[in-house]
Amino acid sequence: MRIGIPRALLYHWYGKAWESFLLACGFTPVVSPPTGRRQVELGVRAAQDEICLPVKVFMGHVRYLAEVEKVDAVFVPHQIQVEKNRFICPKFMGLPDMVRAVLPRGMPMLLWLNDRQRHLWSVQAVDGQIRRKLPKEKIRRALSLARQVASERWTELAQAAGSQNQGLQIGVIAHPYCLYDGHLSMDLLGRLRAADVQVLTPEMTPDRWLQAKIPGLNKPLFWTLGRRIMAAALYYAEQGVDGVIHLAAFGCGPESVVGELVARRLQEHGIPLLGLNLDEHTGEAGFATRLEAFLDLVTRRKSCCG
Amino acid sequence: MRVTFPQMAEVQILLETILHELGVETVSPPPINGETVELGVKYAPEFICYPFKMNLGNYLQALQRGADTVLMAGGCGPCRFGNYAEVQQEILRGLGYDVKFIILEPPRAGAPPFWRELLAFLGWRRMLKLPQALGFAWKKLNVLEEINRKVRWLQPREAQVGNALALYRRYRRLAAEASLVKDLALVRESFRQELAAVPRREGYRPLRILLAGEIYMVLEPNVNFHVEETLGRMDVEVHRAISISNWVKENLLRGLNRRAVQRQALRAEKYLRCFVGGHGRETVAEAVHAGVNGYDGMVQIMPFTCMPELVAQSILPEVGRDYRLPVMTLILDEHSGEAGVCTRLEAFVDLIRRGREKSA
Ligand code: SF4
Ligand code: SF4
Repeated sequence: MRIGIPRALLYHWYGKAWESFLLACGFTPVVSPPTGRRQVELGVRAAQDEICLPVKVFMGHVRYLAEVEKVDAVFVPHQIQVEKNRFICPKFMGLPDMVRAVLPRGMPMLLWLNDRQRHLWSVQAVDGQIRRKLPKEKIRRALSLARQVASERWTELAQAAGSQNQGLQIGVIAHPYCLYDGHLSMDLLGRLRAADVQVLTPEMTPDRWLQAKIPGLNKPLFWTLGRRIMAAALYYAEQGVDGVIHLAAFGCGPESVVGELVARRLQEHGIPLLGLNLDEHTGEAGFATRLEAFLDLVTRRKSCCG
Repeated sequence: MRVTFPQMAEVQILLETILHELGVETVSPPPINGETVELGVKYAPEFICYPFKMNLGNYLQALQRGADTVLMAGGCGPCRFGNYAEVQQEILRGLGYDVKFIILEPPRAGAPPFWRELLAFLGWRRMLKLPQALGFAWKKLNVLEEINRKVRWLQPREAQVGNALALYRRYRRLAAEASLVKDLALVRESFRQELAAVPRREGYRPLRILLAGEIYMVLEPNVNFHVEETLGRMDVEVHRAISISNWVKENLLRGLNRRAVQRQALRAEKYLRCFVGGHGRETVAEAVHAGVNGYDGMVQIMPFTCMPELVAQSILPEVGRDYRLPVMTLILDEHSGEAGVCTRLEAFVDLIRRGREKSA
């Protein structure tokens, strides 16, 4: 059975592990190709106008898998919580039902459910359709393989990207599905690397910082990704980065809150911030110009203030 | 201490009743107007939801009028509402206001629970008077909501246009001003009598439309362009399940209302398998309810970028198809204009009406 995995949303964290899991279970995983104009167009047509870009793109990948790859079923991660007491986003909670609205009638979905009781890589996370068909032992083994692949992916993400020289150091904050999607991010990481900049990403933020209380807030932020962005920004500030780039998706709910909190704190630290909003009309040229101007500014600041 | 709060439907009347009963001074923000919108939009993050902007505008207007404390509700996610207060505080302090926030958090939000916050705010002496004040405010709220409900029923049926709305305005004020339980009962009684005496068009069966969506946008007439009145003027009977009293039951008195929450979940289950924050699941459940009960249509109202309602919106076409229920979504923010909204509502009502005439 060919099962399509959309290369979108948290695929960028867990996707490789899902692939291994499905393979080990005896399915044929089919991953949609990296986001391109095609998926964006399909998604824009399928989803409601006002929905955020990453979800539109997810829908585009789903449509691509159904229409072009003609898979037998689509793998849909239903990730409500991937850590204790934190949510990802209301849209992740409604994802399977929103996908149903854009799938051709009768096309089955295989879910991957994470919530308060069903932790990542636990047997309960696996769709009942798979659990009923396969022996428990086989699923267990597939899961432990998946867990291993996932931790390798983390190590990879947490390793410093870009040059290690003493040039500029820039922290980037963004959701993984914006940052690691070359099309959506306009290859921001590649561009920075090409400019010989040392890059810090939210995934490189040490755990200690993720668990620490955020100064000035009376209660913890309850979004996994938003919380990571916040902690990363504070970590960058302490590392003394030369500038921070915030890549936000148009129409993202949590980002409007977190972005504001982050901007205020960076301002207190006197760290320049470039906010880039991504939508389906973002032009490559404008993006490159703004990025260049920002890098110039940061370089000049660095050379004049030591 | 001069306390202010956000403007939202009956909230002002309710809180003024409670706080005055306790002897706390209040500074109410003016009803939402152009200045509120301007201030809110100017100082709030650009892509935050509209209710946040209006709240912020309210606070700024009240602070200019001498308020120094903000009373508001909190939340524990997954939606933005739970973090409103944090950001608003930082913005107001950044503008140089020395303002204290009293946030009534539901348990489990990772902050002090609301009763402790309340105790610190009111002190023991006032706290003892609280149950009585709450009881009275609750009665008042019920009267206000009854007035609204019955006027929505009357408006499309009245023989002479204008009677219903006049009645509404007058009795809403009377109920708001009542300061004794006895007066409240009198107001209710005479409202019922006057309502029954308004001449009606005999045998007229108006279209029935269900209103649902994000609670703030549904309830606050000054941001939804008085959608209930507008629809009423088009001879439509408007129903809604969302109300302040239901919000209180669902959020503050969880235990008393578990059944209703379960019922909503069951109604929506076929289309939406889990809670999605805010009123997203309720909106889907309401659509099913409207379909099953033969409503003529449903209007969903939400602010721009509202996450739970966007999830619901994606699913509503499916519900509409299954039950042959026309559904319209109004997405509102500071850029929406009254004329545009009215035209869209009119077109929607026309469409339904023609459909009904054809099938009749
Ligand atoms: S977190 Fe933001 S970008 Fe991600 S799904 Fe939610 S609204 Fe969209
Ligand atoms: S329900 Fe909608 S309006 Fe309310 S906080 Fe959430 S996104 Fe904002």
